[in-house]
Amino acid sequence: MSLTITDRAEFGTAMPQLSRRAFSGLALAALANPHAFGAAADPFNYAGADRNAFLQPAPSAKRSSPFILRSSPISG
Amino acid sequence: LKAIVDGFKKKHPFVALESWRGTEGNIATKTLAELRAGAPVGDLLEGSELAPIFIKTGLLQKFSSPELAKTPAQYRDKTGLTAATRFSYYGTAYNTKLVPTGTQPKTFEDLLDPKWKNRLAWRIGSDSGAHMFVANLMLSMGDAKADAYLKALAAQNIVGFTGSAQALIDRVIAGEYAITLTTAQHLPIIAATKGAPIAAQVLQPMPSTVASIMIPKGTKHPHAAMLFVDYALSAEGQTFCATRNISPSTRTSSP
Repeated sequence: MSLTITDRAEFGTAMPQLSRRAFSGLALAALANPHAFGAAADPFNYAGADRNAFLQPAPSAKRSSPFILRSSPISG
Repeated sequence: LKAIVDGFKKKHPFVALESWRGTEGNIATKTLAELRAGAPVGDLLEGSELAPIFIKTGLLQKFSSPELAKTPAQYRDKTGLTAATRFSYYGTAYNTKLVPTGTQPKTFEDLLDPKWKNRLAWRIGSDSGAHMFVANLMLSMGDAKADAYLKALAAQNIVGFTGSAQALIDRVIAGEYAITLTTAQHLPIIAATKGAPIAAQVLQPMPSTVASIMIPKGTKHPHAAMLFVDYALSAEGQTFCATRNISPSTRTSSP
């Protein structure tokens, strides 16, 4: 996506205001909760503090197919 | 795994979970056919003989759960493809009407007593039946001694039973066989708590198996699968196992 002159001007204006501390804060927040930053969080390896909420479906969620567990009886 | 499924449904009622039970062979055949066709249907697998089969295929999804950190490192799968959910411990079971408690065989040597001839059965066609019994002897006695012992045991005319583990326990309860040589010990224990004339007897050394949970690659419900993994490995899920006489896996915390 190409940037307009206005975009470039705003970006250039914002950069000096992004202090090292603010940048570190944002980076840590993104690491702690990538879901909140819109990142494509991996459910198989998600370590955010909101893990349970992240994995839980909303009460209103409707599935197109059921979640299927296949298990064997205990043999012996 | 029904104990954990019941607990999970109660805790997460919005997950439309369908539990399908079958033998390890049936699960492997069905699931592998789906995966090889690129159309996975089963989202999660659990069983004691599935892990070695599926790890080899390369068709399992690697995963991690914070609950795994509560299991001692030596009991974790280093490949990250499976996680232990429950253990089963194996020994004999005997009909208490036919074999009064106190007279049952308590050692492998006791099984060679001629009075048990034609009264013993074991399960064949299952890795945890006669195969495990023989493997346990070979590992603990060494091949030569195990070979001599098994030749002596052959004189007892052991019945090879091809049905399920529970069906064999039912036959012992019915008195068809006085003793089964190999059974997961919780089966006779559970039956005895319901009043059945059966009791468990461990022979040393006692073999055990571990049941594992695993996720096929391409699951359509990755979030729900991980939610179930977390629950199955949690203290709450493992307590559900323990309260139903199923041996939980080895968390360092309760139960």
